[in-house]
Formats: sequence, structure tokens, C-alpha cells
Amino acid sequence: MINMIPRVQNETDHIFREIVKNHGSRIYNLALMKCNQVPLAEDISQETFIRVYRGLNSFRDESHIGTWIYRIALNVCHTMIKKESLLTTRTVPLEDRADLEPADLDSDVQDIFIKDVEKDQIREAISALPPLQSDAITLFYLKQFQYSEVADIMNIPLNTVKSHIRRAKANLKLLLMEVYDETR
Amino acid sequence: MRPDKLHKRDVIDDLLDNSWENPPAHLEQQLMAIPTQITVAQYRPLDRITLFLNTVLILWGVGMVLYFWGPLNHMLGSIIQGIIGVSISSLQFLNHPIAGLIALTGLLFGWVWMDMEKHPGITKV
Repeated sequence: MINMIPRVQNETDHIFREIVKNHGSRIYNLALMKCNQVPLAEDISQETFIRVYRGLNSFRDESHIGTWIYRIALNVCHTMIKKESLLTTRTVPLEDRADLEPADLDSDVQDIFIKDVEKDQIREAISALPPLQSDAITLFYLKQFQYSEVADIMNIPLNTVKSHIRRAKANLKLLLMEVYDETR
Repeated sequence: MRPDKLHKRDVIDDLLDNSWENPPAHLEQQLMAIPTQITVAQYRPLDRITLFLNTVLILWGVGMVLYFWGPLNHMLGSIIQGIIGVSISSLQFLNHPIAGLIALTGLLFGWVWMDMEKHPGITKV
């Protein structure tokens, strides 16, 4: 009985370290995509894993641990980015374009231009998307989640997720085209 | 490939797939150190010198309040009357030294608590 607590503690630490190995890079990339600032992405990663560690002992549903971790990460992202006042200043101009569809912008010429865009510009564009669109598209591409898993993490209907991803792609294409035009 | 990702791929798909950034080398070490940091924070005993100094600080603060309570009370009353323009008779409870004692003790305990909280540094590993 005396050794019970340390044993459980060691198991928790072991599980936690496995989680860091498996999800650390993706959580960092999720944060980086959301805020496009390396120091803030590091802070978000740390805060996320501190919360994960503190909640690990009480978490029982192991089949949904990935969903749980990314839900924490998104919450931390929202809180910390809001503190940095990034969300309010960057999302306003795009709200009017939410009805755009990818088909509106498809063309081979545009595709050639966009291939020259740097990673930093992609992140800048993603962080400028409306929050729900950037959440959906970041989760879908970085973690390779299914649509249904993204819906579960974001706690919204499946079709809404598909719609957010579709609109996010259309907005990204538009934003990246603008970036390309400005830098050319 | 995932069944629900069989949509027509375009250049945005490629861009997003290739936008992966490797985390800084120190980040994984910092994340791995979180259990140790939190454990240290949770089980860190309050060392005797800190306890002694904090007790002295609290007693000194309480003593100061009791000693200066009369003029302090008068000053507060004047300020309140100057600001809100009414008598402080409705704030009679402030006249009692116990009120000041409780208020300052609370403040000092808060101060000591913050002093203890910042040492483990678990939010910035």
C-alpha cells in the first residue's frame, strides 16, 4: 500500500512522456498554425501539456485520449491568443468572405503562384482565418484526423466541419494569392 | 489514405501537407520535464527560514496597522467623504480595528502566497 502512490505516479509519468513523444510536435504545429509566433506556440505547448499532466490521473476514457488532448490544446490556443489580442485584429476582414467556395478560385495559373508561397505566409494566412475555420483546417491537416474526429474535438456537427474546411481552403487560396501579388 | 479525404486534391492540400515545422530542440526537453516540475511544486516543503521571515513580516504588518489605525482610519474617512461627498457613518465597521486587522492580514497572506507560488515556476519550465 505504501508503494502504491509512487507506482501510479511513475505510470502516469510514463504515459505522459509517451503522449509528449506522440503528440508534442503536432501540438506545437497546431499552436504555430494558430498564432504564427514561435515563442507563443512554445508557451501554448507547455500550457497544454501541463493541463494534460494534471488531468491525466482523472482521465479514464483511453480510447479518446487524442481527442481530449487536442480539445485542451485548442482551448489553450484560444485563451492565450486572445490574451495576445491576435484573434480580434486578424479575423475581421475575412468574415465577409465566408461564403466563398474553392471552385470560385480554381485555376492552374493561381496554383502555380501559390506554390511559391513560404511556410510563414501559410501560417500567417491560417492565423488570419475566422477561428472555427482555422481550428478545423489545422486539425484536419496536422493530425490527419477524420472529419468526424474534428467534429468531436470542436463539438460541432460533421457537416459544419466539412463546410468550415471547404471555406477555409477558399479563404486561404484568396489570402495567399494576395500575398503573392504583394510580394511579386 | 483516409476514406473521407478522397476529395479532389488541389494546391492548398499540398501547401498544408508541406507546412510542417519541426519544434525547437529544447521544447521536447521542457515538455518532458513537466512531471518533475509539477511534483517539485506540489511537494516542496516550506523551508524554515522562509516561514520565519514571512511570520515576522505578517506580525510587523499587523503591528503597523494596529499602531497607525487611528490616523489611517481618519485619512480613509476623509478620502471617502471627499470622493463620494457623504458621511462615512454608513461605513462604521471600518472604525473597528478588527476590520483593519482582517483586511491587512488577508493582504499579507496573499503576498506570502504569491511569494510561495512563484518559486516552482511550473508555467515556465
